[in-house]
Amino acid sequence: MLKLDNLHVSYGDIQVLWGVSLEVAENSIVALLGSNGAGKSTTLKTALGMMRPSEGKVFFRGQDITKKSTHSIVSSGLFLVPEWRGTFSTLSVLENLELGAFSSRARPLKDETLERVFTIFPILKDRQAQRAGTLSGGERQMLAIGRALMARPAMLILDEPSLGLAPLIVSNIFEVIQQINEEERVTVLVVEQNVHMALKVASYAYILENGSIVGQGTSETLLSDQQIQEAYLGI
Amino acid sequence: MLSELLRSLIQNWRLPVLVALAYFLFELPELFTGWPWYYEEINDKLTLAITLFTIATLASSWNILAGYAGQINLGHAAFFGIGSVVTRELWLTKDYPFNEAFFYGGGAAALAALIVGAPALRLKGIYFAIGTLALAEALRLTIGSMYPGVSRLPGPELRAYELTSRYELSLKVLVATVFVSYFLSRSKLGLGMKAIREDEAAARSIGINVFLHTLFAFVLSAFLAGLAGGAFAYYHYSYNQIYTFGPNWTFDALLVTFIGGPGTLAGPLIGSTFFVLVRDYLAGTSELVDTHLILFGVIFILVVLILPGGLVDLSTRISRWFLRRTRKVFR
Amino acid sequence: MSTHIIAQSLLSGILVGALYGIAALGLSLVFGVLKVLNIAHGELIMLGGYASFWAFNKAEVDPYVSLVIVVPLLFLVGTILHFGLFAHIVRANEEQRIKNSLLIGFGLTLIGQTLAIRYFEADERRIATEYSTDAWEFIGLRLPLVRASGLVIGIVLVILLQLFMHRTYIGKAIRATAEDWQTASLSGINVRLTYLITFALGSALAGLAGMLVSVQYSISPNIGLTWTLKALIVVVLAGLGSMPGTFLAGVLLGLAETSSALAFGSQYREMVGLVLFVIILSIRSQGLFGEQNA
Repeated sequence: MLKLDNLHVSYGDIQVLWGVSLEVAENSIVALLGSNGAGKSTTLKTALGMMRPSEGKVFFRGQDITKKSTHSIVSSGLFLVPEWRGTFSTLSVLENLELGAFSSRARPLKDETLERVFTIFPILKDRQAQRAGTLSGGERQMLAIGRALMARPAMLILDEPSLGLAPLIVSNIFEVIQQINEEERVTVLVVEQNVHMALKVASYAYILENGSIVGQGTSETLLSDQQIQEAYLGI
Repeated sequence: MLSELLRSLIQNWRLPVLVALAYFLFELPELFTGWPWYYEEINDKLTLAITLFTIATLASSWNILAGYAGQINLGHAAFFGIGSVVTRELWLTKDYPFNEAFFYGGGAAALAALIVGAPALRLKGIYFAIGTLALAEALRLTIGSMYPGVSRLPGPELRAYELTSRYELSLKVLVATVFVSYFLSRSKLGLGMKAIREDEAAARSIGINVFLHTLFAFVLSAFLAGLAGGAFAYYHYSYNQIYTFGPNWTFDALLVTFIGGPGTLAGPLIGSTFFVLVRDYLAGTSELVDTHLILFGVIFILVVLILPGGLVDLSTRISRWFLRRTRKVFR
Repeated sequence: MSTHIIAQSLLSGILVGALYGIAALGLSLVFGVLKVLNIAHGELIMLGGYASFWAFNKAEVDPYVSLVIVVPLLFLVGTILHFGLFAHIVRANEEQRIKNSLLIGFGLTLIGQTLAIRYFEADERRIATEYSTDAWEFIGLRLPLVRASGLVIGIVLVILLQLFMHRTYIGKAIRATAEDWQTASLSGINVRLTYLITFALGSALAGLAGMLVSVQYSISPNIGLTWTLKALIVVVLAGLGSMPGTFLAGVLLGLAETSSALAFGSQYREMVGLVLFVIILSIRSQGLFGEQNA
């Protein structure tokens, strides 16, 4: 579904990605793990066309999208829920959800999708008239994911969905991610520092460090790997 | 010892060049006095030179705040106006000796900057820019109602009028402004201002008092603009007092500074020379008024879009390009 | 001072203020969404005024009818200006962007003013229709027809804009882009197109204001700065993001001007607005974008 091929990316003179390659198969959940500053956000920005690589290519459903603009990538079915949640605090909850269905492929299905989003997140239905700025952190993350679903994405990328949330809400969110993957048949790439949680839902994972992929494997192998355990799981 | 001296001369080549240039300009009218065939045109040339010096002074003084400290003041004309109106009134109405009136004019402009600066400099960036624009407009309207009508030189002064002394005074003000800018840009104070321009938060974090630095730049810039106003009051024999408060004085200064290169010593000088000469040339050739404004408007927009460093930067870019080329050839 | 005079000048304050509000709507929209301050906004108002004036003068088109030409014309001018100039600076960070837009707007002001003097001549012009001097009288107050039209148009305009911003997809996209363009593009919104539409819309609003200026007052090539300043004062009074708020702030400025003219004499009328502006500006020194995130 999504393939990053040998991405090299720089901010001005400083190169931050050194040949990152990864692949996400259709209908799978894949995790991209790594500590702060490893280059996770840059990888995502490049995939979404918000930054241009100096070398390498991005493919989505077999198409080269390296040079496409962000909005057209989003319209083609690849949706990112950014680390900063990406909800419009001055707009109402309903308006936020409607904006998710902005692309022409999602707009005709808007009412139907909205029903489903309200079934997955009943709290959003209760709060639909409220301004998004008044929501709590967990609710805002739900709104962000709900908004992403409104776009009828083929694939969803979640950047640090657990960031700043209470443990109970985090496991809640991850349950939803699994549910979306199974019921809505949405491919998911989840980018996390919370390795435990990510490996629980993902089938395959990549480890990013200092701008390069330093390890990869199925979740079972990674969980049993001695080095990984010491470096990331603190066991 | 000798090599030491030579090195410092090479590093500070601007200073001797500036001194020589200033000396040459002061002697210039003298040089022509013996040339009868030139004499017919000399008044035109002196007038042109005075205009150039005035705009160059306004631009250089504006550059102290905008170029070094990074705050765009859209009310610079107000200080030019205060300088001229105070000088003119003290000199002609209150019978002060001109020199005294002249310095009071500069002082009044500096005082106004000090009073306005405290609240205005709490504003940053765009808000400072539009705030100063509004203040200058408010002052212009007030002056317009306080001093309606034209201010003329009275009989005795008019009979004694000659241009050379006007030329010298406006040149003196320009030279003072350029030297102040030169030494400021080399001083610790100037360094602090540049730090604020680049990154205010970082400057604050290393202990630079942002408010005092920008206030100092503002007051200094206003004082020099006030002196330029005083020189203008000395030069012009009849004008409307509201004229020197017109926003076009600010705009000319801004225009030529950005075209020449903001934050540099030579930028405002090169920009204003370019501006005044082209304007003079176009006024002589074209039937249509103010063609230069269209031309400079276009140049200005192009500079903002593609050459943010101005003409000064263009020369460094060309020489860098040239160096790369030659290096390739030699490799 | 009789209550009659007070009432009459308050009334004219409201009417002139409605025009200030309309003049500020476009500036506020563009500033709020693109974070671009177009100080050539007054020049666009001037251009709209001249377009109406020439339509009336050459083809005897009623100024209110001429809006069907003037508004699309200014929309087009805005499109061209954005495409040619402002689109190139919106990628910079906010501070740099505002500064560059100020400078570009300033260059445009110079060019626009000079061209206007050349082709429209420096004389003051106004549209004098048959109904220009008509007025309604009630309880002793005079309500000039053309000025009252500004108030009516302003109110209708604000309602339409409010509907547009809250009920249509484009409107919601504009509001989303104003809050966070990055997230907007991540929602599939074409941010560049949104910027273009917003800027063109802002110019079209300036054209409408220009028509009203040429009917109610007069136009000349150098009115640009005056109207830019009026619009800026209104924007600073109102803050960004609310169309009804902007319009009301315009009315407030009109009232402040006429009441101060009443209290201190008409020569201080213009100054009051400017002083008010500087005071509010220094109170809100954190900038106008601050309250949006509250």
